[in-house]
Amino acid sequence: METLNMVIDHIPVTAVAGQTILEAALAADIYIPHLCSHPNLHPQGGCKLCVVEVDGKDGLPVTACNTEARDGMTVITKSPVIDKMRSLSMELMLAGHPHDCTSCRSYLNCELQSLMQYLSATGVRMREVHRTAIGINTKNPLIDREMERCIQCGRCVRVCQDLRGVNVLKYKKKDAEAYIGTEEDLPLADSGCRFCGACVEVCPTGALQDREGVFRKDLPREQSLIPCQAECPAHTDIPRYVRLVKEGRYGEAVAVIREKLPFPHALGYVCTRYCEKGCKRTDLNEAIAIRDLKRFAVENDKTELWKARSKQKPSTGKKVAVIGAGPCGLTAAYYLAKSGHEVTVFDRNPKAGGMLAAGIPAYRLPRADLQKEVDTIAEAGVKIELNHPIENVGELKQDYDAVLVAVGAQSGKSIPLSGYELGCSLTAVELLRAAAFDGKTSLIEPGKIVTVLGGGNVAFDAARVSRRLGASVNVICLEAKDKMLADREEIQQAEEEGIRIYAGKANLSIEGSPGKVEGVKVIDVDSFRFEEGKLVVNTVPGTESVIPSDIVVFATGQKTDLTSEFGLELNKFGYPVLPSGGHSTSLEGVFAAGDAVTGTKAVIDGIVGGRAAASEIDHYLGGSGDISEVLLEKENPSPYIGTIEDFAQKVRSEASILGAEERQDSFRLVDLGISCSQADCESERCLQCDLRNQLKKVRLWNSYQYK
Amino acid sequence: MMSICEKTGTVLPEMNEIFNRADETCPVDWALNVAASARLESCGKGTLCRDGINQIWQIIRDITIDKGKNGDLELLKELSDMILLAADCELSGKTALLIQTSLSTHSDEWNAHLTRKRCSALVCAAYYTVHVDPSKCSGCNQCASVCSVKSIAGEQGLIHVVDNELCTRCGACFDICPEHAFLKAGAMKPRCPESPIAVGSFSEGVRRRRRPGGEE
Repeated sequence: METLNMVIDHIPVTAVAGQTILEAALAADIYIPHLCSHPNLHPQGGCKLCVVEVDGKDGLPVTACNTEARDGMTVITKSPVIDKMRSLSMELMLAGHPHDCTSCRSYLNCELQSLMQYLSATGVRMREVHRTAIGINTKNPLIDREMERCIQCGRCVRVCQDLRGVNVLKYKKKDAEAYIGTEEDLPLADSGCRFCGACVEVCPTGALQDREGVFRKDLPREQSLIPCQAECPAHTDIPRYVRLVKEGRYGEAVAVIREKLPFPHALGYVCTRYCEKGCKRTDLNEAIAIRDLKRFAVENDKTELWKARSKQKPSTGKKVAVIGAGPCGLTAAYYLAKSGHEVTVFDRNPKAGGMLAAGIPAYRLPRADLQKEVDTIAEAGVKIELNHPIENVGELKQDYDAVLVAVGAQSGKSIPLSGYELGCSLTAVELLRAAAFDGKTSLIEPGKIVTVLGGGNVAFDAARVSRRLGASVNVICLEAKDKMLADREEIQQAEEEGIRIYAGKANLSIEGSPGKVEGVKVIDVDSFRFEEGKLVVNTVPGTESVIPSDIVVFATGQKTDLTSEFGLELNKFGYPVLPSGGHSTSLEGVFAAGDAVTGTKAVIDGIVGGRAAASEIDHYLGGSGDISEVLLEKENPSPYIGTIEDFAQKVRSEASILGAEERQDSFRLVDLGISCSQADCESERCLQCDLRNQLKKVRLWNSYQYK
Repeated sequence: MMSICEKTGTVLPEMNEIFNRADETCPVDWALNVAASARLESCGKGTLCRDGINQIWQIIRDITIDKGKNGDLELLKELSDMILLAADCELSGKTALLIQTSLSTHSDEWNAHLTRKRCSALVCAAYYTVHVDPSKCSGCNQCASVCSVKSIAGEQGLIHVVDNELCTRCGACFDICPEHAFLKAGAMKPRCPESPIAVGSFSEGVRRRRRPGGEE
């Protein structure tokens, strides 16, 4: 690296050959005001705020942003002429800019405002400029354009053209008035915009803004800018693996996913998709089908590249017992084994997987695929003892250095309902477990009418399993149809399978005689709400009816089935007390995580709990607690995304679904996933929100030593 | 230093027009046209070119319509000096140089516009009045019918009279009058009847009256 010596305002500065005067000065902590210049963009030299005098040429200022530094150069950054030119330029920009800063969303976060202070400039000497082109193209998804605040520095134009290669934003003229717009003033969505947000990121004023609500405000900015990753409890680097899918590098994509979790395939089938709810593209048309892409990557990973860098620490000689072979327990076991500990997982069920095996039906998650991921965990050195219930944690602790209680929330809750004592009722958890492990339940037989109470995904699992066991099925829930908690696909597919949904109904009683249920008496719900945790329902008088039923299934929540005999201090809801706020329980060396402490949550939440507990336990056992892995070298994605025809209009790829006739009587896989061309198209729809973090932040004048 | 723009000054007049000014051209109006052409042509990338020339245009326009302010000439000079110093292209440099040169070469005329509300070439609309020469008017009434704001009083056979409060200086009456009876006046106002009278009945020197817009 060739260096050169120069003097800026009498301060000796060492610059790198090829740097501009502005770059050299800023690197030396000497502030030169600048506005149209941006560290990621080619200089334009248009705003004239960075003018300096070089080599004693008084009164002949040059723009520092596009003048190359030379060896022996002498630069003066302040003089009467320089000050005058800067002030005048600033006054001119302010003449057409709204005067009231406080009403702007960029207030106190605005480069223009900061420069107004630095230069003590206002626009009052100038004629006020009334602009008419500011009304063009203000209604767009995701991006608010308040062009009366635009000072036409051209950063957005350069980032769109040069850095992104999208070339949507241009300098335009309407009569004599210059403005920043699109070809033929088309709305952004019709002009080829890829909604990458780079224009918003580089705008030094409040002219370009992210639509309020698109990004969370309670997170550090670099996190909130990538909503899918921020919403994922495991913070999987979603834009990164979506990009790898686009490049056909499925093994690499899986490595990225596996950096955060050991169940990529299971999650590819059943993840609750917090990420998709965060997806920025939702506000353009529809979220990216992230879960489908994950599954596609796993199913097309021919290289298993992640294994090469998977980290295995040397044996520590410490023994850890994990109770519960669910997502949480197995995840913790996996990372603890990789941290060098000897791990045994105990589970009372005949199969490993926890709710993945005992709860989620096989038509949603093929058991062979689940078993493969469990096997991978076993291959890491985890011993899995099935059909092995643990009655007391204290006894187990005697043989182990640490114990993790990850027993989940195994006990179905039933709501108090008169007629419950008649029999013929069971919880969804009981139903699903029996169906999963025995292929049948004692109650449900072909021809029986099963009525499921509840409107969540578990209710639909229970309903659709009952359907597959030959029953005729009803679902009753409090919520109106459009407010039901279950996924929209679940509701639709259940209906296709002939399941009747009674939405907006409250249960009054189970009707019948002992040993023989006749139906569920319901009433229409006008509204309901929760007051201090208690449900308050307003019903519509006179709308009572009885839904004929033989069997009633309660899908009304689950809780942990821990009792005091287990040996842990429990709170009033039956969950282990965690005195430290972490995962350690009242017993030294015993930890708890997952649904057993949080109540029923998603698979991904259990995995995250397992990771956190593994880290804490490793630390407790004398390790570093660092379970992070780099399974793929960080690539530096190209900021140049170019154009894609009809990008904004591209609709979400829908997975193939097995026809209702073919699926409703068997446990065959329903969701057949997306095709290769769909995966290609779907990954291309990504807005690549992460690229925005490549753009540098502009330092304001007050942070410089010399200013 | 790279240039951000390659706009040329071909839309602009040449410098010699400033020095060889014809009597019927007003230097302020001429400068206004220079600024108007330049602001249409400016690419918009440079602040001083885009906003500076626009500001020059707005200030000169105000000066031509009696909305000039104290300090305007100094501001015009500062703007053109700085635009010239910072010029990235021939267009902005030449525009600034033409304005700068006009300001110094015709400072009397610029001052007359701004402080004395005079346009010696009778081009700037705010600084002249329109009159009908009573000795030429034939009372044909074509001017009254063509006036869009009905500022001309009179009918067939009468000498027509212009109400300069209403007149917009559009010039339609000048173009239509077969007798070429319309006149522009600066400080010195011609003697005209106060209201329409019969053609031939107005004798010069009978009355002197203060005219609207004039000082007499």
